[in-house]
Amino acid sequence: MTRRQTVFGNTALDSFDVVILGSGCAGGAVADICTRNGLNVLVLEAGMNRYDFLDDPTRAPVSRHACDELKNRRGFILPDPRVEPRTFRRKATDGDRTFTGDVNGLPKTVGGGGVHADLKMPRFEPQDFHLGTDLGDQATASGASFADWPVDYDALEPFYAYVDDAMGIQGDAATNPRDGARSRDFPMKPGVPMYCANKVAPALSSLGYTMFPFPTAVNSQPYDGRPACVDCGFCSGYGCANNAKGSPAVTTLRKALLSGRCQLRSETRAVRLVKNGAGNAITGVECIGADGKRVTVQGDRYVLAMSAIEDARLCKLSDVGNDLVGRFLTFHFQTVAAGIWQDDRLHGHRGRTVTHGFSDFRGAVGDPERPLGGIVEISGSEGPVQEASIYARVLQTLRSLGGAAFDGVMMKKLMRQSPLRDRVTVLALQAEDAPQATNRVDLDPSVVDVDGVAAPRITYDNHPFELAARDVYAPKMMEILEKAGARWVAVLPPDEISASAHIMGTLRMGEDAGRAVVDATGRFFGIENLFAADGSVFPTSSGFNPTMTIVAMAARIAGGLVSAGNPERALP
Amino acid sequence: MRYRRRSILQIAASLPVLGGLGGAACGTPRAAPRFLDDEQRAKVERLADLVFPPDDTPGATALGAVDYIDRLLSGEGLFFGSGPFSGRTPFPDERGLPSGEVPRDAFADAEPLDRVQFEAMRALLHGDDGLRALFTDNLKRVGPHTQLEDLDTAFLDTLVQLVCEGCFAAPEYGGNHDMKGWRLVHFEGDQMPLGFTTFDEARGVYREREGASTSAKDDALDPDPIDEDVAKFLSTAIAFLGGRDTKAS
Repeated sequence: MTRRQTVFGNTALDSFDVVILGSGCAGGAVADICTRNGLNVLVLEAGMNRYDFLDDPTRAPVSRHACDELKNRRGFILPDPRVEPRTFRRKATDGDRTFTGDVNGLPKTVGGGGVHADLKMPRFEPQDFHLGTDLGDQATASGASFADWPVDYDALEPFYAYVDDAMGIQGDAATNPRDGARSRDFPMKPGVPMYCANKVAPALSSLGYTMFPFPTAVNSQPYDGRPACVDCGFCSGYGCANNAKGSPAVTTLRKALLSGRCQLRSETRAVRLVKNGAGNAITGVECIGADGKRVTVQGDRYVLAMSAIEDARLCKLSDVGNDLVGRFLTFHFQTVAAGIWQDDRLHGHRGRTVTHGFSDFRGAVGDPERPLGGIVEISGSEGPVQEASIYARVLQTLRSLGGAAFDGVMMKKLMRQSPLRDRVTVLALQAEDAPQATNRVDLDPSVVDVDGVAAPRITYDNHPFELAARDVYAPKMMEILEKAGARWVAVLPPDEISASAHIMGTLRMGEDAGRAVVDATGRFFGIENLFAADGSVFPTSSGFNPTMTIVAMAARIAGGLVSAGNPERALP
Repeated sequence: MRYRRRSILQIAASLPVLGGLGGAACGTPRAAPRFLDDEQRAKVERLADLVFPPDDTPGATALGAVDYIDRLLSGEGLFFGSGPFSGRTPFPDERGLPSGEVPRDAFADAEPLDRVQFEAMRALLHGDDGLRALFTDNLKRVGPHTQLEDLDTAFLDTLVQLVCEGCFAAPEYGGNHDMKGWRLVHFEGDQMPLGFTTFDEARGVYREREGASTSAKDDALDPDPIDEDVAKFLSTAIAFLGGRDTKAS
C-alpha cells in the first residue's frame, strides 16, 4: 500500500513557536507572516492535500483540481454531510434541530476555502469599522448588537496592501466610489470582462449606478511565478487548474513551506484544546491523524483559523473561552435576482464567474430609502449538471403542486434551449447581516460525526435590519435586469437552510471580556497563549465579501505575535 | 509572451507524465464495471429515457446515463477524477493558439479518498439508506408499464439527479459518451489548459479566443431558440417565484 505524504515543509522541525489550526486564507497568512519573521510554525489541516510538489522549491505546484463539475458536486473538498453533519434551527424554541445535513459547508483541504472561492476580494469601507457608534439606537434595536471594531480602516490598511501583493489582486483603484484610501495601487489591472457584465453595464449607467471591476485574487498577467488566468469558466466552486488563482496553497502557505520554518500536517484534525490546570493557558492540541489515531501536538502559542463555525465548535468541545463563544454569528444576507434573455446567448460559463459589481446598494446610515445593504456581484451561470438539476427540481416542484408527471420532453427542451446557463445573468447582493447574540454556534446534544465528535449546531434567524434592505433593493435589481434586456426577471427566495460561504462572528473581537471573546490582538480574554485569526473575530459583517478582510486581519494578528504592539513591523 | 509560455510549460514540466502529440482520448471509459443485472438494467434504461427522452437526438441511455449509474453502483468506477487537465484541449503555442502538445487525460486517474471520504463513499453506496439498496428495492416494484409518477419520491429524485450527472458530467465517469451530452446542449466542456483568453505579455493585453468570445456576443454555438412551450413554462415558473415576464407586462 502506498502511503501518501501528509507532512510537508520542514519535516525535521519538532519545536514550534506557533501552532496554526487551519491552512486556508487566514492560516496561510499567519504562517507567511510568522515564518518571514523567524518563527517556527506547525500548520494543522483536517483535509487532504491536492497539489503535487506543494513544498518542492524546484518545481511549480501541480494542481489536481480541475474543470470537473461532478467532482466538486460530489464533495471533493467539501465535508460530506453523511459523515460530517451539521444541524440547524431558526430559534431555540424550535427544539434541538429542524435539519441535519449540510449547513454552511466550507472546503476542508490544504488551502481551505481559498481553493474553491473565486476570491473576490474587495476591502471593507472605513465606515464598516464603527457602525456600533454610527447606527445609534438602531445598533441595538430588536435584539441587534452592532459593535465598533477595536481596529479601524487606517490601522488595517497596511495589511490590506500586504494581501494585495501576497495573493495577487487585480482591480482598478479609481472605479469603486466606496473604496477607502489606498497606500498603493493594485498590483494588476483587471482582466477580461464577462459578456454578462458588459450586457448589464448600459442599464446600470442609465439608472445612475457605477459598475466597477471586482477586486479579485486572480492573475491578469504572469505574477509571482504563476501564469495569467485563461478564463476557463470553472472558477467559483473549483480549485484552479493552472494556479492563476491566488489560493493560499500556491501563495502564502507555499511561501511559508519553502521558508524552512514551517511544517504542515494534512489529514490531521483538531478535536480538543488541552488547558493547563489553572485554565489560563493551552498546553496542546489533541488531534486525529490520517490513520485515525489520536495524538497531541504542542507549541508556545496557538492560533485558531478554521473558519467561524469550526473555531467555535472546537472551543465548545474544549470548554475554552467565555460565555460569548459561538454568539453573534453573521453571514451575508444574499438577495439573488436572475434575468433570462430570450434572444441573446450570454455564455456565462466562460470567464471568472464574477468580473464586475457595483456598490450603490451598500446604502447609507440613517437613510431608510437607502438602508445598509452591500456590494452586488454580476455573474454568469453554472455548468450543465447544475443546470439540469435546477430544471429537474423545478419540474418536480410543479409535479408536487398537482401538475402532470415529470415532463421529460420539457426537460430536454430546457437543456437544449438553455435559459439558465446560456441566457441568464444573476445579480447577487451581499447585504450586511445584523449581529444578534441569539444567532450562534453550539454543540448538537446528540448528533455526532464519523469520529463520534459532537456536530456543530447553527441557530440562525433573520433580523428586520437585513430584511428591510432586501425589500428596498430586490425590486431595483429586477428593474436593472429588465432594463438590460432580460425578458424574464425574478428574485429567488432566500435559503431555507443557511448556505452562505461568508461566515463571520462567533469569537467576537472587542475591548473588554464582558462584550467580546478576544481582544484587539486576537488573544482570548483570560487565556494567555490562544488567539483567533479569521472571520470568527469580526464584530460586524459589512456588506463586502469578507475574504480580503479575513486575510488582512489574520496578517495583523500574526504581526502582533511577531512584534507585540507594533504589528506593521512584521510586514515585508 | 515568453513569460506566459514559460509559466505554462513550468506546470507541464511538473506533470508526472505528459502525453505525446495529439493523442488525447475523449474520455471513453476504459472498463465497464456493472452492478445491475440485465433485467434491472433494462428497467433503469426505460426509466432514464422517460427523464431525458430520445427523439431525433439521443436520450439518456444513448448518452451514457445508465452506464454511468451502473458504474457508480458497482463501487469500482471513478469517484473523484484527478487533474489538472483532461487532454481535450491542447496547450497554447507561442501566440496563444492551439499547439500540437496535448496533456494526458488526468481526469481518468482516481484521486485518493482520505479516511473520512472513504466512509462517506461507503455511506453513499451501502447500508439501508445507500444507493444500492435504493435501486435494488425500488426496481423490484417497476414493471413494463411503470411511469415516473408511480415511483417512490426518494427514488425518483435520485434517479433524476443521476441521469443529469450521467448525461452531462465529464466522460471519464462513464456517461456522456464521446461528449454527446455536451454537444447536444452546446457546451464546450472543460477548456484547460487552452482556455478562452490569452495574455500577450509582449503587448501587455489580453486576446480572446477567436470564435469563442468571453466578453462579447457570440452566436457560434447558439442554443436552440426558445420556443413557445419553453416560453410559457418559464413564464409560469417565474410567476411562481413572484417574478415577471416583461413581454407580457
